Amino acid sequence: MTEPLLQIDALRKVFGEHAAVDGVSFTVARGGSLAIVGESGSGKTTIARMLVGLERPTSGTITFAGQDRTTAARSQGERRTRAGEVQLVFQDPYTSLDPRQRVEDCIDEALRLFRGGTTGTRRARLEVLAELVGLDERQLRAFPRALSGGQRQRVAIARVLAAEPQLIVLDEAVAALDVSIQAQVLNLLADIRDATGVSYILISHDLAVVRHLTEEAIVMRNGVVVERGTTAAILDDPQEPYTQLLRDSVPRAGWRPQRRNS
Amino acid sequence: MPALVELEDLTVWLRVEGATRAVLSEISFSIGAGEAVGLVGESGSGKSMTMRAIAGLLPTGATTSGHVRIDGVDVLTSGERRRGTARDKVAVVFQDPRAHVNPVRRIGDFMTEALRINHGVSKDDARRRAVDILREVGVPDGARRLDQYPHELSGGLLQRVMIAASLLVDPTVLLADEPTTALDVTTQAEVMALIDDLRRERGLAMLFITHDLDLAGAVCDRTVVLYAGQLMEEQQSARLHSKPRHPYTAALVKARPDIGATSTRLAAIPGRPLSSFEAPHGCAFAPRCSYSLPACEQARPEVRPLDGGHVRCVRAEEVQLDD
Repeated sequence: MTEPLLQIDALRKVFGEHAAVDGVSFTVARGGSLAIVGESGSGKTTIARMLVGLERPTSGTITFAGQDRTTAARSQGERRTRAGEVQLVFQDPYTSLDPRQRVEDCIDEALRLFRGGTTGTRRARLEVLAELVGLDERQLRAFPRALSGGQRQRVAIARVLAAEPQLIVLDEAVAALDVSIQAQVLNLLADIRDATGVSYILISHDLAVVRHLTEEAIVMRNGVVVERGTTAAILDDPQEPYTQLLRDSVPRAGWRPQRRNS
Repeated sequence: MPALVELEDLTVWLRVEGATRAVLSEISFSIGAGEAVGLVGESGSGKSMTMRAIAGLLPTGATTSGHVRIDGVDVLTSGERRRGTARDKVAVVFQDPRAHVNPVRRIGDFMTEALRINHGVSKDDARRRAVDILREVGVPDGARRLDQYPHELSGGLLQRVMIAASLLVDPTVLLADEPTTALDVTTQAEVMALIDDLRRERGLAMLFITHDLDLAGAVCDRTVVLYAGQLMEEQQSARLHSKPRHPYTAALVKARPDIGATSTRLAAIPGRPLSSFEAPHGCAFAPRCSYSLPACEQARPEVRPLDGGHVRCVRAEEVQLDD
């Protein structure tokens, strides 16, 4: 059996008295994709923050490509290496870009930081990335305020790809986009996976989006995993009552919402 | 029976960067008592502006033409007094309840304010009515809730409070602007169930604004689809999914990932949604439309009746979901 890209064991994070994440384990294969499904307070974003080093686990282990990632990086260089391997795309493209930085400078900064090279080689790489995510010359020279939500999210994705990560954590990365743009970005993410072999962790409350982009899924509630399996099995034949409730809460043709209490 | 809410050729202009620009163009539809109409569109389509025109919440400097009638009274042209009386019948529920309450005042102050100040109801009476209405929306311990602050309530509970507060003045029209978008999916289902019950029991005329075509289809009798400030299609919600008549509606249906089936590629709509003042001279959707003809770019198609609804497309009869 090949070594998984990411292995999480008995991960726990306590804030004060409250366990936000309580004994979560999962693995992501190289080139694989995992959805973390859950509502507010389920602990899904806390897991994302621990994966990219923004939070330290209270206990449990994070192993990335055979290397322990549970403890803090010991040097600036190590921190940068880690950051290059796992990258995060945020939900809101309106607050995650620097408004005073042109798009090309924003992407070039990531190239300089993670990949180095001369101005010429970076420019060539920038053009490849822009082509991959669908940004034109004019948009590269623009400031974020001149771009739509979908264009901004393309910039965020290009910047993440500049680091050539092995794992991208998508934290509700398409939730704020209009339907027609969401489809474009979802197709783009599928294309990028085909082209680069990158792994995804998709954190989402949107089960249809989860189905489109991932093969495996875990369902979380109050910091624990309540169900796991292939995404198709979880959505077509949920076993746990909570997963069934989530599934039944999705509006669809002929859906009549029911009042559960009162 | 006349419609409770009637929009006829509503056009709204705003001053944007020194130029006057139309943000809504010739919108016409109506809502009867007890009827729910969905208003669906992407960013900049004008759905919130439509709600604002009905509620009298247009930005300063906005100019209008056409008619907005509430119970027969034209609220765009009548005098302040008649207009005010008509709009007393209109309740509004917004997307983010936390952005619409004063965080340092108690729930009770917020809920009873309108009754006490505008309707001269005594404090005790107003509190009693607030507790009653909270029970109606599924909040049993209302008296305790009235003494709490907004931050002590979850998002779903606070949205129930907002809905209750909007019902205190006995409205006949409910305008709901993405009321469940900020909520979790299971909470959304509960709040939707509540809104659905209330409008049936109270016979409210409801305008339900959402970006989610599936949600509108599930809870509204009819749905209006807006694009770039124009009405593209108005149709029975049930038909909108199975037999959309406008290419834009069909494209929206196809662009959504399907929860019931694994697909590898989505039918994305090229380009991005346009706002009204960016829209081309002809059909606003033509640049992104797979059915577009040269004629579509020459002149804007008129809204015409079809299948018991309305559609703004010359090729509506040819639109297919599978191609």
